[in-house]
Amino acid sequence: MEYENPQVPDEVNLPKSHPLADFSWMLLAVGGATVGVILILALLADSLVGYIPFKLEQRLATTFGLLEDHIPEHHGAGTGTPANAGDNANQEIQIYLQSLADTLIKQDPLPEGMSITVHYRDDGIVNAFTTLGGHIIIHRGLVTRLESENALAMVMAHEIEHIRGRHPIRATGRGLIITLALFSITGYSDSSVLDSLVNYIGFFSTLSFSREHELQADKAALQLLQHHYGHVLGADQLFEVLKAEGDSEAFNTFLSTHPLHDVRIDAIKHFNGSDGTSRELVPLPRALGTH
Amino acid sequence: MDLIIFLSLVVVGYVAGSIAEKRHFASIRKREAELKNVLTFSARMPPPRDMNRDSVFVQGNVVISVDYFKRLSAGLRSLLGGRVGAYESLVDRARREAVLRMKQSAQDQGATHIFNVKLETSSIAKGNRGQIGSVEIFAYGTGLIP
Repeated sequence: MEYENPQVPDEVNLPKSHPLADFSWMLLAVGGATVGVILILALLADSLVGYIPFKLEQRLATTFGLLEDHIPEHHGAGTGTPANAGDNANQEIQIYLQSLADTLIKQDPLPEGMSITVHYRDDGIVNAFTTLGGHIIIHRGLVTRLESENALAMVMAHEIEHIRGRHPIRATGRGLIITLALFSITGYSDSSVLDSLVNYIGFFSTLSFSREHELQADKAALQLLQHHYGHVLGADQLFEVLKAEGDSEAFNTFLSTHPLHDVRIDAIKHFNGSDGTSRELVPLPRALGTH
Repeated sequence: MDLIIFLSLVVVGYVAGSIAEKRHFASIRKREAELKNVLTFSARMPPPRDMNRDSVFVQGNVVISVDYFKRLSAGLRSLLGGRVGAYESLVDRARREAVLRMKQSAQDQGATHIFNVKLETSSIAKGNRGQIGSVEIFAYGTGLIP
């Protein structure tokens, strides 16, 4: 038989551009569009969310059951069950924390209709946070690491300023709209790998918003402290504590929604508010010192 | 932590994927030259003068998996449209490898010509979310022994 199969050029089927170049262009296009859409939506959400009444926010907190785990059980006198010593101490701390918050608020009263409730949680987590409906949750782990009432007041003032700025509801509203937007992109794709990529882009573009809120709260908190104590001594100890806690995970700090601790400590050092009156730290009450 | 895993998967996918692809193409070109003398035809029947030769069934089958990087790249492409370069090279490799294996099987059985060559493809894990897909190509035909 006189047939033959000649060698044919085989490059015709292969992509002409380098896979990485191709990939970079696509990443740039999709990433740019995603970031753009998210920023616009986030700004819109941020400006509209302020119109949600605080009452509704409080109702949301109850509906979502955000505080179910956080509110300590009350052993009322009428129930007949004697509260044990630990519960009594916790009650005492809770009352002290609430009164500290109330004192700070008096320096710069909250708008009409807004209120703040402080919850104390008896566990070792080094954290304090604010959630919808004006609830501040403070963990024992953080309180016991603080050396003065001034540092604790910094925590409290910071969280109060979050509430004054309506940050929890802003973050929730923003999170909701961004999640919806991302779902509408990723829902149509059949690639889970792509979904994670788009979600990471979304996460990073919202980081700056959270950090901005933190810095705003810090700044306003310092002013509150300045009004109350006449100085801001001891405020930076909070961030020293957080820094010491988080040092082991340097990479997490980079990804954190909070600004770098050094930046915040510097901001406090540069806060020039001293009026020259007595600059002494106020000690914490006994109930907290005995832990 | 998730991000670290994600990025390492992409990098591993790209590095391992390109090395595998490069080697595979080199091997394909080499074997194509070696098996040049096994001729393939899409015609159903050989010419009448060769009708009474001995024949054997010859076949070659290959499954090649998508790597993580290709999947991400193709995912981005699915939003923008256009040529899915990442998959084009994959399918090209699979098709040529299947034909080569078929030719090899023909040579092993002493056949020099293969008539009625057909290719069938299927994809494993067809578009299921969260699953790495792979492409299967099956080449088969009738080998003629001279």
